[in-house]
Amino acid sequence: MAAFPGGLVWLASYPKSGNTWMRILLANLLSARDEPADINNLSEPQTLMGRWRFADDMLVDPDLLDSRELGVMRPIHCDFAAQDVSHPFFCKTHDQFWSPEGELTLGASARRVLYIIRDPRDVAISFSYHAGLSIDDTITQMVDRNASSTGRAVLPCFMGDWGTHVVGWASQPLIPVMVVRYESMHANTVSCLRSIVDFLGGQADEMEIRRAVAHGSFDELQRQEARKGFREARPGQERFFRTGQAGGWREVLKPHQLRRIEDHFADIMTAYGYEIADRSQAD
Amino acid sequence: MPDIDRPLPYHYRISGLSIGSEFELPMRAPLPTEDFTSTDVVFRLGAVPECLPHISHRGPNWAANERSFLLELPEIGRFLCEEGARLTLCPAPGAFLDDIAVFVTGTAMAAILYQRGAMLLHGSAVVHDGRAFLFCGDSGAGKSTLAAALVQAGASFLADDVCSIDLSDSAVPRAVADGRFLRLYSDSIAQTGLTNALGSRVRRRIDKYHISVGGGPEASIDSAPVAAIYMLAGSHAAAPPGISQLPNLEAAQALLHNSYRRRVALAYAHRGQIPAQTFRLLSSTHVFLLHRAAKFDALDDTVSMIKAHWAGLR
Repeated sequence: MAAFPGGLVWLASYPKSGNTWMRILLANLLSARDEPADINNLSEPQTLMGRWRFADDMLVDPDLLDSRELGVMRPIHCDFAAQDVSHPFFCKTHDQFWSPEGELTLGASARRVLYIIRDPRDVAISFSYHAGLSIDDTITQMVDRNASSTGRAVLPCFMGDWGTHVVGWASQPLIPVMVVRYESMHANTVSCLRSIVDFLGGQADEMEIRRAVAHGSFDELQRQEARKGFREARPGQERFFRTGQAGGWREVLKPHQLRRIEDHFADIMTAYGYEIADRSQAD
Repeated sequence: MPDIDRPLPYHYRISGLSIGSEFELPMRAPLPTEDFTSTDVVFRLGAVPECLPHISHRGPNWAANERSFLLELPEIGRFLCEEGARLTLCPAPGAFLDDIAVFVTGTAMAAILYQRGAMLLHGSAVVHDGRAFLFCGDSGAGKSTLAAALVQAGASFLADDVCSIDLSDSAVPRAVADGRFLRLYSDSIAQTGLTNALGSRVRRRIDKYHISVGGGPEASIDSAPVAAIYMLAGSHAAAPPGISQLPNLEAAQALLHNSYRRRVALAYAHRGQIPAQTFRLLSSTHVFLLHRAAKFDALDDTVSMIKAHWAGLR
């Protein structure tokens, strides 16, 4: 049966980069069952991003804290949770690794980081559907160094801009990190999951990995969402699991949108193998 | 002069206990000193140690042993609760008392009550026709907004955020007010039409306000028999709006999950004997799962659904 060492592993990414898909793949790998894991039962109460867990552990309602107090308490909480956990604990986050003041946002006691990166041009399209924003407004958010979000059940999340998000997590020296390209997951999920299991020091045989990939396929996720909905979808959102495409931006983005993204992030995109399309940038 | 000799100029009643305090608690009316013949709990300002000996339970920022509970809130202060009778507050440098008193009456007072064997639920409560109805849910679930909407629809306000259950009469558990005001965000205040009842901010930099909802036919009561407990949940395709009764085992799990400051309850579980308390509560009342659309424009529908349910519980 597939197994991982105990401890906290951050599944970190900018929103709409494949984080939920990664969570579902790992949940299927760990559950080792004949039927796919329920997408509506992925251990939400335990997430360190949730208001419930924060209040339960820290004994204070996060609604009664200002951003400075919350900024001091969250790393204390995450470090304690990381040191206290004996089972494998994969926790999704969209927070940046560093705060604007250069402090740790989530502590430094996790044992590993899986950072999922996706072509920001595809992120813009997926994020725009998810947030119900125009693509132009979505890009404005992606280049905003102070961008943040919050929700009814989750703690305020400091995302910042796409590029700082990537660099902050990928180049931090405190927790061993593996950067996983969404496009690679898409192109060869089995081989990608194999290398992730190895990085995490886990054990899983070929059959277990293939079963987890089948149970986490987009067809299966869309089937479950169509039948029962997905509790993490935005209220009113038609579908959370939309297309999962890589490279869709070529048909959707207008030249000025492409230019805006590439103007801001060309260096980081190039470093992670995303070819610059706008001719004026390339020249 | 030793701490214990300093006078206690402020007297309050919280969850059925008489409190003598060295400092003022915002948005609570002090009681006349002559009405106080004895003091159950003393609130003082003073030095608080950084750690406890013989720790039995601990968290990221707190620790408990048989006699004492210690809480540290960085930038806010340290709180020491001893023997269910003494609460000492050591404010952090630069912290204002009026800004941090909410944590004295919240978590720290809960620790005092648990040390005395109390049962506390994380929920709001209203009274209708002499019966108390409780609404439990996680932070942000909409407990206070729903209580406010029910008050606007004719119920009386009893408790917000924390609701103490008095089990001293074994036949009829009672929900007890802790004397605090309802607290709402500004968007909820506008939606529930309570702008006229607006009080002070709960904290200086937080957009949450005390709301005075003193009206209603049963405004003066401070406890009522528990008629039903609702667990708030959102609605979605697989769980449309509706109310369903939880089987006893699930009801017991839900009550534990919704204990106010659950980990402190567990640290002092032997004092109150949580399983016995839960059994007694469930032998006279039912727990319901309440699915509803957690958005303002669905509030009226939710209130109608709840009032119809109350009528059916007679």
